[in-house]
Formats: sequence, structure tokens, C-alpha cells
Amino acid sequence: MSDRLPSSPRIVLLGNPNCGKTSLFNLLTGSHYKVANYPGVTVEKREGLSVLSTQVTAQLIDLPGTYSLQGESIDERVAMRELAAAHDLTVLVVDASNLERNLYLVSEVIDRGLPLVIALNMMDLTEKRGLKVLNARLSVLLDVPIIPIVALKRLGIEELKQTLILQLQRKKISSQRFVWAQHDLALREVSERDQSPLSDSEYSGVASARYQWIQEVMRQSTVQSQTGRNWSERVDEFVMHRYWGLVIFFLIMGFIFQSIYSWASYPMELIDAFIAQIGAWIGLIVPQGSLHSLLVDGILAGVGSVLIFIPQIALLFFFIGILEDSGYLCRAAFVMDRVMRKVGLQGRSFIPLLSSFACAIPGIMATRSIPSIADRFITILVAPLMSCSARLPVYTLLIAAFVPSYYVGGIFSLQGLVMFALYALGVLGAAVVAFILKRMLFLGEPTLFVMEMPPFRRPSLRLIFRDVWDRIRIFIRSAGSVILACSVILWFLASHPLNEIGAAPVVKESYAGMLGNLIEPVIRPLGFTWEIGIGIIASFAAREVFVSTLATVYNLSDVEDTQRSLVELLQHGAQESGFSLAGALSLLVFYVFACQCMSTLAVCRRETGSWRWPLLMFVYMTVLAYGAAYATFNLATFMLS
Amino acid sequence: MNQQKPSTLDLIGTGDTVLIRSVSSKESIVFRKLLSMGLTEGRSVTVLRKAPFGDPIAISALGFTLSLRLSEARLIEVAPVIEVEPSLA
Repeated sequence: MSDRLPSSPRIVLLGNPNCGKTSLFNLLTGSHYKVANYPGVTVEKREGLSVLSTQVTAQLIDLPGTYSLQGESIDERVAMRELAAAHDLTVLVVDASNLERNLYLVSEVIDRGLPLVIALNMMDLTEKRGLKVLNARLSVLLDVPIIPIVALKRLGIEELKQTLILQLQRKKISSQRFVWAQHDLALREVSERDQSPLSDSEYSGVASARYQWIQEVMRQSTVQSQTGRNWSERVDEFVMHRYWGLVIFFLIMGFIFQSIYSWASYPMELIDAFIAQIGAWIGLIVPQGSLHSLLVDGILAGVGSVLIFIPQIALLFFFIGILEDSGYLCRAAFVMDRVMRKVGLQGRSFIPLLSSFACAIPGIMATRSIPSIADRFITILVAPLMSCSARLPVYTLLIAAFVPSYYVGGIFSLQGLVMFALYALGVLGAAVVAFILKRMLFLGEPTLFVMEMPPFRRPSLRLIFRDVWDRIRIFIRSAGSVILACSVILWFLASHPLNEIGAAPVVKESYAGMLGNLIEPVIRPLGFTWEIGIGIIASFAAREVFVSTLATVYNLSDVEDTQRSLVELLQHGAQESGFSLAGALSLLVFYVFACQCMSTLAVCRRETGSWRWPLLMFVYMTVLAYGAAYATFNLATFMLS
Repeated sequence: MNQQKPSTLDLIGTGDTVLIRSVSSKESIVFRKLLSMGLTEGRSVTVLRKAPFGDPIAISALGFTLSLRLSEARLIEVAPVIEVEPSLA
């Protein structure tokens, strides 16, 4: 029986990069995977269940975008490998506003003789671009069912589901074939086995023939009218301008860092006050003693000190979301390519590197869309030098405690400028390291830039807020797990062993203090004290643990129980232990460069397929961090004395 | 006889439209990428703008915008539109 439904049909979503596959996948499966406006957001396959009707639930597979079945980059190969696997139906997502180029992949897939449905996405954009698509005509020409949709606005989804069910029953295969002189070649091109890949001239012949056919289809199924320049092109006049392009780029980046520092301070003060209030309430309920100490000095100080940074992290992800969703990232890659090439990277490296300001893990994953190995590996190796959101709490705390609050020229806060300088230092370090790596390991390797620039679109605040919320949830979850556990362990280590009279020891004589003292000789040349040493050791669990560790250590040291804020405790403690401004600057530089993240090393291993690269990453970052901190401490001591 | 020297896309000025004569297969990966994106013989492309320092460039073809490095644009041999038009008529 041909019209019986498979019990659990498998449906593959395929299409050009940035055509809206993931938006559609999210709609059909109720997932919330990341979507944005640049090619190559999805770099690995994802599966989800989609309820097509009360009887039919399908297994849906979202693939990375690809321009053809001959793609060379890693994410494109993932798509091809998956397409070769058994499934019941292929949904080709076609960007209608870019129909002609999208039809190339359509023609290749039709030649494979698979059951197909075309979801014609972004129908709302076509008319703005002066293109009228005659769906019914196109459907007849291709002999494939076509459903117009607007995935971002959730239009056409019900119709699409019905068509999917119908096609799952009928399994109709397009009768179209591209019968021309090179027909055999065309079949060899799309064959799954790839026994004899096409030569360059054969490939050229097939591609030209396909596009000739596509032009004929376009002529018969679309009406093209002249349009004036749209707003996206007018914006490009400025942001991609030969001279202004770079100026605008640096203004945007400067604005983001300045606002993360200054705007976030108000909600941060509120959270700080709220946590202090909770501490006071606990004081009313729980009597002084070990339990009170655990709750207030251990858990509340540790977890609370990290939760304060939610506003900054939210703002960081909000701005990155705006850049990603508007389409600006591709423009940044365009204006920065020349500069980045000088240091051994390329414009496309910009997108993973910018993501790494949020977190190096998605950043390293995003390198899959970089088509050449040399560019990709160098980008992976320098990605953790971008100051990630986990460093933000460390920077903020140390800057607030040690850098005077002062406005340069009455506009820019000195603290904000120092923050910007730290980010810039990471970028500079990445440039130098990439330059060296390129010359030492990857000299002469071929690179590929060719990159599509999608038109600007108005960022979807709904999607951005969803993403920001997801990030905050992850951050809170880590505060409730890793940081909570670390805080409790640290509280124990810092308040034991009990002395002869059964009271908690001074922190310096506790287990944690012993540990700090143990490594003090190593870190003394950098200007760090034993308290900082404890923080650095604890940081290996996660960088932001540094803040919660200091909070616990200093809260326990604060014997008069003065209810001072962490910044005040740090200033006070620093005075007593001789931790100077030079030491603080050295510590900041150390955090810019040090590789204190197990997950980054693990993801580097997975993405490069060898332990060699994460090992190289760890070694060079540690040497760099120690050397740069040593230089900073000595230079700052000399300059400030 | 209007015998013009063949030109390559990297030499074309901003705002000019030209027709593609051929794409060099010297760099196989670039070659295949450009072909699969539709930069085939006879296609018209417009140079939209150049990045700071003149490289890469942005071009418009088939209704979308593509950015290329000069080294990649050099692989695309082009001819002025006027030269070919009579043969089309």
C-alpha cells in the first residue's frame, strides 16, 4: 500500500543558509533553537518531534544550510551526510526573496528523485524587492507541492502540515529531470556515493546548465519589476562605507561596552541591596554560630555575589542578539576582513569571536561555518581570549574596588574605559597569537572568504528576549549548582579546622588559607596575595567562582561582622594584606588571558578532533597570562611609585 | 573592431555593471562556490562598494549581495555590458 503512513515518519529540513529552516523547525516542533540573520547559525543537525495532526507525529531533522550538494565546509558536509541517510520526506525551505539562487539546490535535490515539499519562505519580502512569485505556476514547473509561508510571522504553517501529511501518504516524486547534454554528469553530481567526483570543467558545465534551466523557470513563474533602493541598501551605504564603515563599527562596539558598564549599575545596586536584606533577615531568624555562618558567609555571600551580575549579562546578550538578528554581523565581517587577514584570520572569524564575548563555547561551535581549516583552527585557538561573560563579574568587582570613580572629560567613566581596555587587550592578544600561529603552523594554507550578505531586517525583540532569558536561566542554574557547591566547600575549607577552643580559625590558618599560602610563592611575583590565590584555584570550576570565593573568604575574615559590601570588604582586606592597585591591574590582565575553563578545552577537543589543540590552547594561554600579569605588575609598580 | 583587453572583476569600479565571461578554476573551492551561487557565464554583476582599504568588495548578482576578496574577484573574468549587448539582440 503506497498511501499508508509510516508509523513514525522522518522528515528532513534542507535549504540555503539563512533561509529560515530553524525558524520553521522551531514552529513545527515547539523548540527554541537560536535563529539570527546571518548565514551559518545552525552548524549541527537537530532533531525534534512535530505533531502534524492528531494521528501523525513526525521526527523532524533540521540541517545546517548549504548552497549546493557539493558544499565544502564542515557544516555543509553535515547536511549532505544526513540527506544521504534514510528518511521519508524532504522539506526544501526556499527563501522566496532569493528565489533564483535557491532553485539551484532545488534542482539538485529534484535530480536525486526524493519525495519533496517546498516551503516557500519570506513571501512577505519578495514584493518589497519587486519580485512576484506565481506559486501555482512554479509548482507545476517543478512538479513539487509548494506552500508559501512566513516562518517569522508563523503564517502558512497549518497548510504546510496538511501538505506534509498528504505527501507522506503519496510519496510523490517530481517527474522533472534536467534532460540535457550533461544529464549523466548531473546525475553523477548528485549521486550519494560520489564514486567519481566531477572535474572542474564538468562541474562548470553542470552548474551552467542548471542555471540556464533556472532562468527559464524564473521567466515563466515570476514577474520582476524595478524597485528603488530599499532601506537596507541605504543603511549599507553607511555601515559598509569605505571610510565610515570602520568608524561606525568601533562606535557601536564602544557604545555596547560603555552601556554594559553604566546602565547595568542601577539594577545591580537593587539586587545587591536585596541580598543584603536577605542576610539581615537570616540574622533575625538563625542565631549566631556555624549554621548562620554557613548561610550568610558561605551560601548567601557566594551565590549572591554572582547573581548581582545578571543585569550585565542580560545586556551583553541583548546587544549581541540585536547585532545578530539585524544582519549587522556580516557587515562587520566585511569591514573587518582586511584587518583580520593581516593577523591570520578572516572577516568570517568575526562572528565566532563576537559570540565568544558571551561564551567561548558557542563561539567555537560557530567556527564550523568557516570554510577553510587554517582560518577555522586559528579562530578556535584564539576564541577564549575574547573576554567572556564569566569574566565580567571578575572585571566589575576589581574595577569597582580599585579603579577610582572619575569621569574623563565629564562623559566617559574611567571605570568604563578600563573595562573597555580589558576587552581590547583580549582582542589585541588574539591578534598577536593568531599572527604567530598563522606563520608557525598554517602558512600558505588556502583560505576562502566568499560570503553572502543578507538584507538588514528589523530584529525580533520576542526572539532576542527569549534568548536573553535562556541565558539568564543558565546563569542562575549555574549559580544554584556549581557556585552553590563551591561556596559551601569553600566556606568549609575557610572556616575549618576549628581551633583548640572549638571556634572557627582566622582564615589564614584554615585549610583554604593553607592552600592559598601554598601557592603564594608562585603568584607573589604577580602581586597577588594568598586570598587571591584561593580565588584563582577555585576559578578552575568556573571563572565567576572567583567572585563568590572572595566573597566567602572576606566575609569570614570580617570578624566584626560589619555587613559591608563585597567591594568595601575587598578594599579593606587589600589594605591589610598589601594588595595594591598594581596587583589589581595585574590580576585583571591575568584574567584576560588565563585559560580557566574546562568546558572550553573539552569543546576544543571535540571540534578539532585531537587533544593536541586544547593542549596548545592551555599552554599558550597560561604562559601568556603569567607573563603579561608579571609585566603589568612590575610596570604598574614602577609607574605608580 | 572593438577589441578590448579582458578584464577581471577586481579591476571594476564601484557602481559599474559587467557581464561574467568565465570563472577561473585555479582555486577549485572558490570556483565551485561561485558557480553554485549562480556566477555563471553571461550573468551580469554590479560592484556595489568596497570595504575600508579597498578589500573585500561587495557585489550584487541574481538579486543578492555577495562579498568577495580581491584575490577571489580576480578569478572572475568580465566584459563590459555594451560589448555583448549587440550579440544578444
